[in-house]
Amino acid sequence: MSSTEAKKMVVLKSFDGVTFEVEESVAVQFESIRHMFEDNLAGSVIPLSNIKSEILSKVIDYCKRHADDTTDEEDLKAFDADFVKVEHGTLFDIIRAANYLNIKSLLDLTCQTVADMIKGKTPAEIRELFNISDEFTPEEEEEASIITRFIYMDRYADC
Amino acid sequence: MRGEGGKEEGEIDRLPIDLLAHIFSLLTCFNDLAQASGVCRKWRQGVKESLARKEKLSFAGCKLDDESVTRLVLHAYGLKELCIPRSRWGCQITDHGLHQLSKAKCISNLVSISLWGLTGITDKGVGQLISRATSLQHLNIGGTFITDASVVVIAESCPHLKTIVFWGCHHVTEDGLILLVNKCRKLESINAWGMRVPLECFIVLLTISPALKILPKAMLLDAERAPMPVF
Repeated sequence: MSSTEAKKMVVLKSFDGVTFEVEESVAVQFESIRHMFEDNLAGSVIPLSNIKSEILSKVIDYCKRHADDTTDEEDLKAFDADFVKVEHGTLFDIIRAANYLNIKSLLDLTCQTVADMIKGKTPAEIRELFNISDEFTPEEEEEASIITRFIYMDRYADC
Repeated sequence: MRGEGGKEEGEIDRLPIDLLAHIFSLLTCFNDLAQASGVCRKWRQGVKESLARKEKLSFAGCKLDDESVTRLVLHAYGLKELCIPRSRWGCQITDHGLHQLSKAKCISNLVSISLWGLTGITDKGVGQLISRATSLQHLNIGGTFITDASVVVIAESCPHLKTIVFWGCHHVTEDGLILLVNKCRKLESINAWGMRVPLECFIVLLTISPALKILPKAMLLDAERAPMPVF
């Protein structure tokens, strides 16, 4: 983006009615709605009917930081690491927003964070961590254990 | 019921299955994937979908039996590479497992299969699996007890074969190798370390296919001194 031309602004409106004015250079990262402001619709408000203002504000923060060419690699890594230190519910909402807006780097960052939480845990530990009710019937439990019991064997063998 | 500790119940439930599947596709370790499939129905579905997106599946280092390998491979529609090598715990795959695997849709699309060191399999299972693997380009069958019967099936079924590893296949003979090189015209290399075939056999192979690489190279120079593989 050339700094000599006037900065074009895009207006986004969250699910709960809060509007955000974002520079176009930042908003271009929102792949799925890009055509809306690039098709000369500048000035009109783009409604994002399934993203809360709290989440949208975080997503915009992320994109602002990533649109800034002056930030060096290390700072950006530190920013990313801090960015995902949020409550689970918030993290999952950001994942959905990143998916909806098609922001690949944010989707990768947040999904990797969840994947890292899952790594090395047993199903029971995962249920505990994410507060998931165990809804398997005994038959399904048996089916699941066919896959997992060999892994438990390995675990105990390592102890 | 869980979720009485003040935490909101199942926040992760907000994620649709395709996003769960995306998260699972980032799990590089197969064990983690198996654990995730044991969490709940939705997660199991997510693991199935993530498998469908996978192109490579390796069971290296996993203690798995016929049923579990088959179950997982059946869901991996897009699979291109399958690796089921013997692990330190002893992979329990048998002919029955290979027969079950041969029914999976993805088998005819596989370009690479490794059955390295599976001592529980015989010509029967290998034949059933390989006869379906018609797109195969790379096969590692080293360290197994297959005979020429399997080699015949490979020669008949895999016209695209580029590389094959027969490392330590003591029961494969000169006749099998000559048939293979005659039939598989795209074959670029054979790893014949530790096979019990005479040196002249390799000369015959090279006259059939001069560009063929026979590995390891030292074997051709001094077949007698080449150390035998240790199992």
